[in-house]
Amino acid sequence: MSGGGGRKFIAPVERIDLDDGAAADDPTLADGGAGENGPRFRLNFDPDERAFLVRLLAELKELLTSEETEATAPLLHRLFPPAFQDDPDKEAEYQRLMREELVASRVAAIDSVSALLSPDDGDSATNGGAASAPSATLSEGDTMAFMQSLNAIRLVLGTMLEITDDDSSDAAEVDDSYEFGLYDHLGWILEFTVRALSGA
Amino acid sequence: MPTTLEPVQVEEPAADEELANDRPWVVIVWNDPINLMSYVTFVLKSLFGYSDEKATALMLDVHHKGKAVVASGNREEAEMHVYRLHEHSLWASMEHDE
Repeated sequence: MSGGGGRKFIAPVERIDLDDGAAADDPTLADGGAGENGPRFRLNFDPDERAFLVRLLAELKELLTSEETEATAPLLHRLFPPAFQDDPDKEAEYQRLMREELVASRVAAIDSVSALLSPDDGDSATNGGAASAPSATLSEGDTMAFMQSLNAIRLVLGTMLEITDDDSSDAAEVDDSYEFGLYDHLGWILEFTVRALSGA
Repeated sequence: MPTTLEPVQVEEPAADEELANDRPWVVIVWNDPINLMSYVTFVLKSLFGYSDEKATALMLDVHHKGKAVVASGNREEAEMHVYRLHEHSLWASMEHDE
């Protein structure tokens, strides 16, 4: 882990320097799409990792769009926190007006991210057929949607793991579970996504 | 050409407490143990245009004091802020500025 020059590992998400030659080959940079001068981002996942993230996204979408049950209510509560904690009338109004919009916004983000991650997305055909290369770079908006969706998955997992205070994650029984491993792994990806978006 | 303005009949919102009582609202972000500190800082920067320093200070307030006021405004503005914070899964609520 120490010594030697060069990179130790490949960041799961990185900001692409537009002077970088790799970016020049990207067909999505030349098509004049919205925000063509914005920064671009690359997701460095292999096909299995992409498929796994798509599966998690599908589970999140299922949770968001299914009828609320006793089992899912606590998970959903964290995704839709109260806006008015001391005023039931205003709170009911907020939920009535905003909840549907919030679900739609989350689902739209999930759908666009799933499309970007899916191995058979349309861009791969126009990208020189390099199967192992990332099919396309992401805009800042796409990367924000990726970050939001990933964070929502992690939030649901954390709620399932009953991480309810800042010290919960130190509890040995939590650390040992596979679910905690996944929760931690998503945190690692998220951390790099935030860094990339922050310009680091 | 009239030299004075006609008195205009203003429709009074009948005893609308909301309007009479439109004190500023504050938007609060509450501590939660799941969202990453870097994520919270980034969301505050990108939603409110805060500097790195200001967003970090607010995030640390949330972390150490349990909550922080991150924005204020009228009810409509505050609701929009809360909605956008909820979109990013931050634990946000609003209340009257006392």
